This record gives sequence, structure tokens and C-alpha cells, in this order.
Amino acid sequence: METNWNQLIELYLQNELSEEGRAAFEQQLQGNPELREELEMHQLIQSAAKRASQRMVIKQTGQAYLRNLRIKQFTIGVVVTAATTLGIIYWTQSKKPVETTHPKQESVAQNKKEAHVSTEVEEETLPSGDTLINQPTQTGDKSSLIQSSDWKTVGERSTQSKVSLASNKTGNKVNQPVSAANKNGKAVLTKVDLKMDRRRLSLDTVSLVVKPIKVLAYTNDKLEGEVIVNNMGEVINSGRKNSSLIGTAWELQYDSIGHFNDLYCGYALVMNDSKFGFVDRKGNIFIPLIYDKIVVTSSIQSSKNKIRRKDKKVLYIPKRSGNEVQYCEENIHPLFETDSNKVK
Amino acid sequence: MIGPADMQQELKQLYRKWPDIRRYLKTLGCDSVSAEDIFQEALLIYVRKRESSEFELTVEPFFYVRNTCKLLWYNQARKEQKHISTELPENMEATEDAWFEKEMKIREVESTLEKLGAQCQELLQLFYGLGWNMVDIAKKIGLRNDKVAKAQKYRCLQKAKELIQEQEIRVEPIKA
Repeated sequence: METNWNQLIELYLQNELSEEGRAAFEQQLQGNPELREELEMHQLIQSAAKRASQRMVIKQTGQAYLRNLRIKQFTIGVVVTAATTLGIIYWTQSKKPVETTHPKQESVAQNKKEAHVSTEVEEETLPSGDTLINQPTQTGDKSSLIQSSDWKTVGERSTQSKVSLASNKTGNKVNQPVSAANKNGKAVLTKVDLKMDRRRLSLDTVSLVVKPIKVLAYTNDKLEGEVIVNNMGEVINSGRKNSSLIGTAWELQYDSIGHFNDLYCGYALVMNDSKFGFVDRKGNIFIPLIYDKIVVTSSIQSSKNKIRRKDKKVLYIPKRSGNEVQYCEENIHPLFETDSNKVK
Repeated sequence: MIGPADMQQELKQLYRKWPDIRRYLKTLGCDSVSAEDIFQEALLIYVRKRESSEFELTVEPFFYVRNTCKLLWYNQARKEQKHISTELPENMEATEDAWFEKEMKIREVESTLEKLGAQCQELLQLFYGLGWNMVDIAKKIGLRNDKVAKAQKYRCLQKAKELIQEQEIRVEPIKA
């Protein structure tokens, strides 16, 4: 009986009953609360089943959405990773030239900073400390080590470092683009990319083919300005404002040249193949380039004790205070007198 | 009224707004798990509303779904008594009519139906939900023929009724 009703209810809900059957069924409904309840139950189940199927559709849509989202994110991730990798590869490949050329600006900034620090310290110890600015680190108790790693490239042949070329206006015709000619008859300063070929171009009237100059400066040296090279390949000015014309093509024989420093009694530290030596202002070798390391120290003995490596040749230079620097300027050179046994 | 293909398209559009809705629900204090359930439920309600001929969409589907989400969340929060529903506007309940009440009833039955076997569920969904005929259903769910499927359907209905009654008996005394 119940299944019979069930069938009827189903047919009724599916709207499959005949006209008469439908009327009869509805009449039955009127007087039969149980049947009404049963009908309601069926309706509920049907709706619920439908709802469940709709939920399935929504879930599927949601899953498809999430899948697409993940694919998108994955694709973006892959693209970003690829781009980053390419970037890193490019960076590492271009790192070497960049590394050697960029520090020009940095070292200037750094030197300014350190110069500031050192003047601060010196103000405590020595009020008229201006002469000491060019000295290597004297702020700490430790002795200063001068090694090749302490040197920074100031200017070098590269596409990025700008070097002022002073070309003699009256002298040679310069093929490279000259931005502005100075009417005062002074040297025309042209900022060019110091590429080798360009340099050759600018020097074409001179038979001398110039070897690229690397000018290094000790990091604590105060660096200002750029290396100025005239068209003869002569270094006119290695940066310091007050320094006069210092040297000629002899500078080219060295890998790097420091400033003529009061600390070194006016001699300049030069480096070739990681060996250090000193030259005077005319380029004559004062101390041969045989030292692996140069130590500026206030106590040579303690520094000797610290540095035990026998395979390195070390030159010890006494650390001097301001008065001694002045003393030095009177051509007495206590620097090398006190350590003369090391010189030869 | 709207065709199933269009509905599918519309659902896709609405799903793109899911991150917005999730953020919105989170501002109401909803956790992310409930948020997903609520969003699905709201979509379901939207789909079912669109089916009924008297329903007129007065706002953008997105706003309708978002409002439904809000309402569902308030209902749930009130039930859980986790969050004070002082923010709940009174008129919101008023708008929620008999239709919504019935919908919630259907929702309960729907979750009860989940206790049926997988085959029963599929059969009922295909027959009542998608309106398939018994021949196709028999093929789809691996029954010998439409007669067997029909017999199976009655068994499933019977079982469903039992489950629902069982549920009501268990629920009613607590309510009273």
C-alpha cells in the first residue's frame, strides 16, 4: 500500500498523472494528513537531491577556478624564476668589469667619510691636524696594514669610468668628440669613456701607444677629482688639489700608484705584481718593489711578533705623529732612517 | 530563469570574486574554512533563486552573493554564539522569508542525504537534480537496466525517509 502511495506521489510530483488521477490524488490529499506529510517528505527529498546536484556543479566550478588559479600562479612563478635566474646570470657575468670600475665613486665617498672620521679623532690629539688627513688609518691602536686588498681602483680603462682627458688645444687635433672648447686657452677637458680604442684615437698623432693606467689609491687617502691624463699619456694630476705636476709616463710601468704621501715622506707607494715599493716624485725607485706587505705601525717589534708568516716580505714603517711629518718635509726622512735595516 | 550553460558561466564569474568575498567575510570575523562553506552555500542559494521564476535580481549578482554570505555568516555565528550579533540589522531577518526558511530545511535534508550510499546519492541527484531518465542513469551508475534502477530509486527513497525521520526524532526533543 505504501509503495503504491509512493508511486502515486512520485508520479504526482513529476506531473505525470492524468487529469483525473491528479484530481483524485489532490482530493485524497485534502482528507489525508498522513499523505500530505508523505508528499512533503518526497518534495523535501527531491529538492534536497536537486540541491546536492547543484552543489556538485558549484564545487566543480570552484575546483576548476582554483586549478586555473594555481596554473596561473605556477606560470607566473616559473616566469619570475626564469627572469631572476637570467638576471643573476647576467649580473655575475657583468660583475667583474663592474666591480673594478664602480668603486671609483664609492671609494671617493668612503674616503670622504673616513677622512671625516680621522679628522675628528685628530682634533682630540692634535688641533692642527690638517696635514694628517692623507695618512692611512691612524685612528686605532692596531698597526695599519697596507696590502693589495686595501687598494681601490680610482680610474681604469672601462666603459663606465669617466676620466678627464686634457688635450692640448694647440697641440694635436683630437678626433674624438670634444664637447666644449675653452676659450681661455686652457686645456680642454673632455669627459670621455676611457676606452682603449678611443684613447688611441685621441693619441693618434703621438706615436706612443699608451698602456692603460690603473691608478690606485690607498683607501684612506683623500681622493678628489679624477685622473687627468694629457694627450702625451702623461699623468698631469693624480687627483690631489695641491699636488703639482707629478710624474710622467713612468707611472705607466706600475700596476698602481699611490699618492705622494706625507706619511711616506713624500714618496709614493707603487705596486707591481702585488709587490710594493716606493718611488720619489720623479719616478725614481726609492725602495725596490720587493715587499708583499707594508705595515705602518707605531711599534715595529710588536707588529713583527704578530706577523709570523715567513714567506712574505714585510716592510715596516713607523707610524708618525704630526710633528714628525713636518720633520719629514725637511727632507730628513726619519721614516726610512729608522727602518733602514729593512730597506736593503 | 537561466540555462545551465549560462549558469555555469555566471558561476565562473562569481568565483573570480571569491578572494574579495573571503576578505569581506574575514572582516566580519569569519575564519577561512567557514568562509569557503558560506561562499559555496551563498552561490547555491543564488543558483536556486535564479531558478525560481518569481525571483527578480535587483542587484548585481556579486552583491547578492555577498549579502547572502553576510546573512549566512550571521546566522551561523548566532548559532555558535561565538560572536555577538548586535550588528545584525533587524530588517535583514524580515527580508528572509518563508523561502529562506524552507531552503534551510532543504539544506538539512541535503546533509542527511549524505549519509546514503554513494550510489543512492548519485541516483537521486541524477534523477531529481539533472532530470535524467532511468535508462541513462542505469548505464551511468552500472545497473542492469532501467527497471533495476527504478527499484533502486525506491529503495533509496525509503532509506532517505528513514534517515530523515531518525534525524527529526533526534533533533526535536532537543528543540523542545
